[in-house]
Amino acid sequence: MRVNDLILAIMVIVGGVALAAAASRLPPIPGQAYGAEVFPLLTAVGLILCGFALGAQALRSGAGPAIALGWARERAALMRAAAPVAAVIAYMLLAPRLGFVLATALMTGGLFVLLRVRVVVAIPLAIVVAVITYYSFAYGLRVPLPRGLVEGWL
Amino acid sequence: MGAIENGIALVLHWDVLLTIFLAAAFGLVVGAIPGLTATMAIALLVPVTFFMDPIPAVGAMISCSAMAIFAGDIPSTLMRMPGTPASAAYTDECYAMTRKGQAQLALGANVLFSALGGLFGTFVLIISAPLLAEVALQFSSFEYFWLALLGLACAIFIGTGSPLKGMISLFIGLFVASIGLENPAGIPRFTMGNTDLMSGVDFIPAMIGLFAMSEVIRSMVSGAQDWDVKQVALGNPLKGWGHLFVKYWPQQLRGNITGTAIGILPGAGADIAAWVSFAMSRKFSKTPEKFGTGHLEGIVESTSSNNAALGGAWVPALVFGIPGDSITAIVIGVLYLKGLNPGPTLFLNNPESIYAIFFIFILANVAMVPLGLAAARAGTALLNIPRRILMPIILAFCVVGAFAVNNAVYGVIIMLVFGVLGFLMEEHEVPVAPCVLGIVLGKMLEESFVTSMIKSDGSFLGFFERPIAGGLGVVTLLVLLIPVWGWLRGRMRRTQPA
Repeated sequence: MRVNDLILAIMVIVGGVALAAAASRLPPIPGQAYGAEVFPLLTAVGLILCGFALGAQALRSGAGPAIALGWARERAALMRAAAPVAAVIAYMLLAPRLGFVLATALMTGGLFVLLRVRVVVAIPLAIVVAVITYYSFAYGLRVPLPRGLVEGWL
Repeated sequence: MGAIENGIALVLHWDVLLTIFLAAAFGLVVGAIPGLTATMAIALLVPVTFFMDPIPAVGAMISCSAMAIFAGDIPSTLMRMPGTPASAAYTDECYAMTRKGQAQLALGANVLFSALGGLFGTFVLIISAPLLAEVALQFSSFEYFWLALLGLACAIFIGTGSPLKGMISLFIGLFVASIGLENPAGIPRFTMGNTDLMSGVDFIPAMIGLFAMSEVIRSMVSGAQDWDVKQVALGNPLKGWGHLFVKYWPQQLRGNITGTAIGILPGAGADIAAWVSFAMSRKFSKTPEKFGTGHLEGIVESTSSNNAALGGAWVPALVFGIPGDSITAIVIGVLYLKGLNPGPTLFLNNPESIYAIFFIFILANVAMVPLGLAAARAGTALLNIPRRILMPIILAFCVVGAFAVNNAVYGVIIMLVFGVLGFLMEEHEVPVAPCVLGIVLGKMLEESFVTSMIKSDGSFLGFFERPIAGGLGVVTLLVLLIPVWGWLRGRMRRTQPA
């Protein structure tokens, strides 16, 4: 799934202009000519110039269809693309309540099932992965992973 | 000669050697875990060294950091997740080799040239520590500005795709670097009132997102099908190495020299060394079109470079107590703690300690070959796991790695945002590597630029007035202008057909 270079160029230019507008509102350092706004402004100018160059290139060589759906035509593929993002968000919501092991097991287990790993393999594997990761990070590297019910037993 | 013998004798105790070996194994593991850097491995070691004598303490740090820098290449090659930022420059190239079934060859080359690079850096450290540190001390904001700009210029030309899209990626990275409080004015920039964003965007979770999570999304889209290539075993690794060494010695030597030189500069370490070397390798290559398709040449040069940088970074650390990179910054703290105060007096009062440190460097790099090969072999076994099982596990590691950077969920959010961004960027053929470098170098570029502008009262001539700055400036402008000139010449030829 992609938009063509012309639309991409417009997005880059709009982003650059927005950055420039935000940067120019930053307060100057009193008595100094160069403050916090200089660098973002230069970045914005760079983005805008790149955007125009990309747009010119796209116009010269023919931009092609505005949006090429590609794999996104398939609903299952769209779902699979959204799955890792949803899984990480679910983890962030669940981990403080359920603890690291359960949240991770749910996250990986769900993805296993979506990718058609057989359930008899997916569930034990997800639990093993979660427990091993928990042990090596929480004990080996002293990372304070969120604790819940299960972690108390480990 | 008494000091040298005494120094070696200090190291050749079973407890010192065991400490070095354990620290090396620890470095291998931490370096191989994406999201945990060599710097983090060293930081995790500090509390342990409280209980040690000075020599094993320093030895543990040296061997741990050397292993961690190499070990970063393992997940980088196998899963496209750079284990440490120093591997990020050639992650795509190594991964492309894995996709061709040459993971063993790529890892074998990484071990060999990492070890040789480390030895070269050590050699330079031994013969020229005081002299070179003096040159690096002359660097002011002008020189740093050019150095950062040179690094960024290299990033644009690293990619195989359109340089224009590389530049867009770079500017996105520079924008990300400008988020937060850390700017010359100390004003919260683009934080939208969020307190987490005040501290800026940590580049490690961003890097995990851009490289690893985007790869997870991409392979999920295609249903995480297995590659239909068989991994070719290296066989007897020593046999292949002779050939590699003969074929790639110019790249190796250039990588070693560049890496050591960059390592010596304060503030610039193994990460930047790897980027610059990869770009140089492509520039000087006879077959630049092969870069990006899984070609060993650039890998050899940059892996030679990042390990050499490690030795180089110790030059200013030992002689002046100025950290050459974040690793030596921590090491300097430990040196003080152990009464080995860095500085010229260390060479006068404690010469045997200096020689012991040099000797440990040599030991660590020699030990890297067997340890690294074993780790690489064990790592390659990972590839036999079906990708439908591997991908969710990598995602779990992404989450933990991003969390572990600051022990905060904020890291996971950054990872997620950059994962989606990286996926979208690559869908549009915008390379992600320049963006990572922009995030890394952005702060240094801004600080040195604004400081220099204030110093020179807004005159751009100030950037060329000092001899080293002028030289660096000319080189940077040449790197930037040569492609433009080539493009103009190409256009002129097209408009006036001969």
